[in-house]
Amino acid sequence: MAGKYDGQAIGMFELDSLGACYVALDAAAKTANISVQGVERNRLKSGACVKIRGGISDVKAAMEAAILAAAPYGKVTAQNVIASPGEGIDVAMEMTINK
Amino acid sequence: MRYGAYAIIEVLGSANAVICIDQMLKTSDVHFLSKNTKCGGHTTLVMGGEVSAAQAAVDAVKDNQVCEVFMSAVISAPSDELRRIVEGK
Repeated sequence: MAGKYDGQAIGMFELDSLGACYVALDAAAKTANISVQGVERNRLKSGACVKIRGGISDVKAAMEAAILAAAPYGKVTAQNVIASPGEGIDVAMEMTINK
Repeated sequence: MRYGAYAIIEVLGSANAVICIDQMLKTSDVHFLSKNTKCGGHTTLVMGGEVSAAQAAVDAVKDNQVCEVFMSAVISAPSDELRRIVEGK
């Protein structure tokens, strides 16, 4: 069955602390019309990763706002945007959330 | 119940987290929403309340610090995505 996020662009960023992820996530959601697929820890000291889905222009705008909002709270471990993800990407994305 | 603001505190360990929760509940009118202890030993607390109450809670923890507070923030008018993530967890 078609997943909720089929074909939508992916935006992912990892920060040093989960609190900073909440602040960045909130800034991103206020900036553009995106939906958050999940927030998960990334086992790098106390970091966390946020996965954003939506239109490509929304995801790009949201990522910039998120990185800008998280600047005072923590360093950015990694960030990237995938414009048009492949077919079975949702399985990989959902696998590690809340693990 | 829709909260006007979230107060977010990050401390080391669950014992410090319980002390911070107690401090915040006593000093200002906030409600406890979620405690996430999965991220590398750090415990992230999220309390809900009005903007002034959330700011008072954060200031209370930062003024008389029982332990090292890694990060503290107040988010006013949180978006629906953040409400789902925090209160859904």
